[in-house]
Amino acid sequence: MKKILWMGLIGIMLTACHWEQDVAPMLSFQLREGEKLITIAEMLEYHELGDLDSYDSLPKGTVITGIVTSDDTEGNFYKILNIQDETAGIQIKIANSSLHTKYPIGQRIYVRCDGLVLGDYRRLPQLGWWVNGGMTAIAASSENQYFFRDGAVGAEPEPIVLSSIPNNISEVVPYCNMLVKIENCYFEMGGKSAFADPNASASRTLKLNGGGSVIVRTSNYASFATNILPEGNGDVYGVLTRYNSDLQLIIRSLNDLKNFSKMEEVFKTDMANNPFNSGWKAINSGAEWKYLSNSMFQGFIINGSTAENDSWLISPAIALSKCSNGEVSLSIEHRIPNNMGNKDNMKIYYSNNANVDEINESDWTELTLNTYPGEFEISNFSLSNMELTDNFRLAFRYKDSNTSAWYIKNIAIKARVSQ
Amino acid sequence: MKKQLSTFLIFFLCIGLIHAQEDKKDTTRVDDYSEEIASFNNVSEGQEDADTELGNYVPGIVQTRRDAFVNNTSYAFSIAYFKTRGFDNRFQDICLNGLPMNSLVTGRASYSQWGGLSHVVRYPETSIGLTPSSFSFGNFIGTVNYSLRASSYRQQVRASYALSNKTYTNRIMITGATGVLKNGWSVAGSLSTRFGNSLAYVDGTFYKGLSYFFATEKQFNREHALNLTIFGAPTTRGMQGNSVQEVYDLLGTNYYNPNWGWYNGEKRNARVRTVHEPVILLSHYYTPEKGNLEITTTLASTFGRNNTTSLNWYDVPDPRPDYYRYLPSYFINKDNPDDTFLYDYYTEAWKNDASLRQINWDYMYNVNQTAAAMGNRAQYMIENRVYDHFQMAGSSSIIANLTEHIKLTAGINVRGMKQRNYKTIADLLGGSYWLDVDKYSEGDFPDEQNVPYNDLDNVDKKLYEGDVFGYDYTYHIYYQQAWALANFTYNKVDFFAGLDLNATEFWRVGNMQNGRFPDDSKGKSAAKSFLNIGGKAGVTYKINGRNYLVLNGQYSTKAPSILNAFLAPRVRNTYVSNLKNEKIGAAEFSYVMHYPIFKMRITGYYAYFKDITKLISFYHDDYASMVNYSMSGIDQRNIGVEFGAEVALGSMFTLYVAGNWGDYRYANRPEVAINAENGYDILDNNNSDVTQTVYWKNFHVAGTPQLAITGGLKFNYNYWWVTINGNWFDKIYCDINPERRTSAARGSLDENSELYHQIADQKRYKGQFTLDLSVSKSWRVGGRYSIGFNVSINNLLNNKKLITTAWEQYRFDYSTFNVDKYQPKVYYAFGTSFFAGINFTFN
Repeated sequence: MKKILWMGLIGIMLTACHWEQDVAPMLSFQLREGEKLITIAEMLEYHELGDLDSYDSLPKGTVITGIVTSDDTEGNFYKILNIQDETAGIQIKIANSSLHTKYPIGQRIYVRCDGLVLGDYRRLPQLGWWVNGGMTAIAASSENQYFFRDGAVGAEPEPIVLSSIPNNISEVVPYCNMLVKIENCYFEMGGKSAFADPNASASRTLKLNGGGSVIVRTSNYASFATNILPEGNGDVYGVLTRYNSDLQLIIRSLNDLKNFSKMEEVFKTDMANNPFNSGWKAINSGAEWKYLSNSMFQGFIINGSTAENDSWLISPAIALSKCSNGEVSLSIEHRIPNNMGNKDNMKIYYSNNANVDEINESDWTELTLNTYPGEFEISNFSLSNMELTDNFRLAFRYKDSNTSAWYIKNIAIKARVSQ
Repeated sequence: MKKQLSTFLIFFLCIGLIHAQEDKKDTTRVDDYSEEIASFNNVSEGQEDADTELGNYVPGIVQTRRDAFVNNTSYAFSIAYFKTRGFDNRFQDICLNGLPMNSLVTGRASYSQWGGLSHVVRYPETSIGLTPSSFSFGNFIGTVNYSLRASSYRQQVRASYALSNKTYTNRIMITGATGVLKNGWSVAGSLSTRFGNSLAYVDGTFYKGLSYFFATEKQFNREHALNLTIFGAPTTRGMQGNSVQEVYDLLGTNYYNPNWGWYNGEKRNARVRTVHEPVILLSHYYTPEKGNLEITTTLASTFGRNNTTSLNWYDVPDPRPDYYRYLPSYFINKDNPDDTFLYDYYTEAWKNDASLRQINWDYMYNVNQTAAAMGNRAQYMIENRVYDHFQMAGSSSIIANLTEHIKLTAGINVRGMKQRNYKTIADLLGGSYWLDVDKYSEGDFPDEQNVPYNDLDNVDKKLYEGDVFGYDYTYHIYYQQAWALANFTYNKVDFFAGLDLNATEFWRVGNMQNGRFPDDSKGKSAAKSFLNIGGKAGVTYKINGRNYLVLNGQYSTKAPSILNAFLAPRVRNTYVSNLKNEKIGAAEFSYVMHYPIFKMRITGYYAYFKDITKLISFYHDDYASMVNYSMSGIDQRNIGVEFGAEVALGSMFTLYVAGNWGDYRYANRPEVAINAENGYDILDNNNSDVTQTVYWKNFHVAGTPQLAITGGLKFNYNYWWVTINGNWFDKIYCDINPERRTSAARGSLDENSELYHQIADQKRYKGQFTLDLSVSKSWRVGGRYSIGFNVSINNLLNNKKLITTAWEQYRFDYSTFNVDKYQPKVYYAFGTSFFAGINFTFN
């Protein structure tokens, strides 16, 4: 008897030693009786946009759900939460300045709309309270009555891709309050002004290469407000909003700017020193490519004779694999006595895979001079839409049997370098 | 018998009187959870007296003195705030002359009521655990009864002086008793004072206490005796506060006290507790010559005030120096960790600037005086949180030896209590007047003019020192109990069975109409009644005269405490929904050995608590309001083993070891209803309660080391007593904030993420070792005098790492989930402390 009791006691002790820590489940949402889940697009039909801000009530028990697309971490969104479903998006005004921790991008939330109204601010639909004739943020202390997170944070919704903005914005208006990607666009003031003014929010025009423009609206409280707008072209993500007939894009952070690149000089031949010492190479047959440096001129020259000439001047390999939209510029002058001679005796080529030892076997593409090279006019050659490699070379080929002189200087290449 | 009846009659008349007076404002005690915890550190308040006299601590009856666990642990474990079997104090009945002294509000007895009277409040009759007692039905971790009869003190005059470095420096006690005189009278009296803070362990604390005791008894004949005992202990003390580990580390001490600041060259404490709650006991003892029985009847009243001051402020920076926004950690620049300028600045300032790390009284006076000069209200003040209580109580119990084998004990116990809870302005700190508006409600309701006012009868009234403000309400509680226990004694087996029936009724009366709850705050609430039963039984199998097996069990239901019954007790009459009786079942199984040189007890115990209700209030960051957080249906499970063994080594030495291994956990997932005190729900006219589930099943119930072991050697020769013992405390857990174990706090965090674990995991503190030494000696001088001394040194090795109390703050940072923002509050046991006394006895 005693033994059994002791064993029982020890048994209880042993089982008492293994306990799993209780774990609270993630928040999940359940509809209550009498509640109805509708899409955001369905909800938006309850309110008609007009010249004046106004609001409408929603049917009792209305619930919507959506994924968060806004983020106030950087301060550009302030007391605003944007959510969207497959049909539309909506802006929600909440008087809480730190919404991102509770409602990060990708979080699904449900909104119990009882007690809220659907209204608009300058034709932008908003959900919130209507106080003193305008849409007003819901008090933070009431947040928990309306907003309910559901499950783990997932991926950000796929953005609506816009590569042009039509003149009639009504085609784009349905995307208001949704995440969009403005493709292939540039800031009008790129490289010149900051996102916002020092003491005020600011609108900056974003032009789409495909046509049209939107305003990028940035708060002066955003952490990147004083950053200079990027130069060049790229893609911009953000939540599309409107202010009456102006479309406005609100970006969450600088990460919303993708693929922005500007033209940079990626190659330049230093003509103050002999370029043949820094990779330039001449393969001469007849006339010789030479380097000339005096107070008037620094560069390459070739003086053709009446003999058979076929001389190549080849650049060192230039690394351009990270570049796009390349542009070669150089100054070239053809000097011939009495305008005799043939400008076609000078060809300019480039190659992405030239073998310097097998110069004639290599695959050269000609860059055509668009005007007759007068007195050192700068000539530009576009390399856009061409794939560039790290074995990029320029070449000049003099092929003639007449007397002729060519002067070349200021050889440079600009390109967009991807960041 | 007639006398019995008349005593009862008087007693019931008095109860009726309390009912009749229910509209009058009356009495109280602690009703705020955080206050409770804060004051818990001052268990020493109760213990210190026990601490003070070595050898007296151990309860006196033969049975207990012989118990190898209780005898060796009750003093040694007190440093770590050890709780027997993990039970709260409210599960131990403390009786005076058979009358339970546990407060009807808190459920706990307040030792401070008889603080400083250890000359006379001593040698209690004690029952351990579930064993039956002769004066009450018993509670789950035992019952204690102090007999305060004048005749129980023998004729002598006793004086003692003691010096200590704990909460007070000096204690003087003088006690005299006549013994039973020839005319049947006996008189006993005791006076004591505790004072001085020159050696006080914690900075800024002080202690002033006076205690008085008077008892007189008349033995009319062999059958009847009547005793009157009156005592009280008016005490004023500057409290110790606790803080977060960051501050302790910064200052290099675990005893930093945020409650005080320099003022006019003196350390001024903002938290001063003043208590005076006297007790009057009138007891009748009836021992008829015929029939082997004994009837004790006690009629009692306790009344008085318990009040604690605290800082209050309005629309100005929080004056508490260790407020989280003033700590260096608040200035860590998360965006740029290399930018440590502010962090370094505040770190240095904390170390070097006393006006920053302690309360800045001058600043507060300055702000108030400036405001006063412009005719504006005061913005800082000291408030006084007052609990006035008045209680009438009576009990009667009988011990009847019916046959050689059967002993019956039974009793009734009736109590009525009122406790008024309110705040007054104690000190305007140089300001001109105060306005009674709720700082958390202002601004939320532009259309609701009355919302911020706490007292609609005095809107915009200028208030001055002494005026009542904030809240004012009275608890009314009535309790009746009848119980009986039958004990059977036979050769091989003893057993007992008992029954308890009790009823509780309570309500609240609001004395102030609150602007947030105008229809729900003033006047009488509905009354709630609870009928409860308890049953207990046990059997002792006597293997032989040296070895025993004991199995006891008890099941009781208990009314919920009134402290947890109202949604927002300060301002509303509304009860929490789902208010239920608590149910507690417990069993213990022991093996006891008694040999002349060896004794031992080992007990396995198990207890299950069901449907506990708990109300806490705190500032909820997610709701941006003070909230009342009402948890209901909490289940708890305590299991463990306690043991003690002593072996005599010759006639002078005894070697002993005793300890407890326990495992105390929450056993379910309770529901919690959250209710904002700023009343935002009124505006929305919506469901005000947010309910959620607390996922804390299997988390540890904190508040005591669950593992505690002591071992030592005692020496006794020629009135020399020396004990040296080492103690190990472990399984010390941080009290958890339920809010952090909810889906709301988890949000969408991954269960395995580091942040989730930071939020949800329960902190366990390292086990600690302490060593104690005590020496005492007494001499007889002549025939009638004796002189003695005693010195006890606690924590001889000066271990300052033993955490006695730790709890997670209820605030939780919902905006960034930064668990370090509101760090756990921690109390540490004192390092080396001593108590040294000398005493003279004149017989």
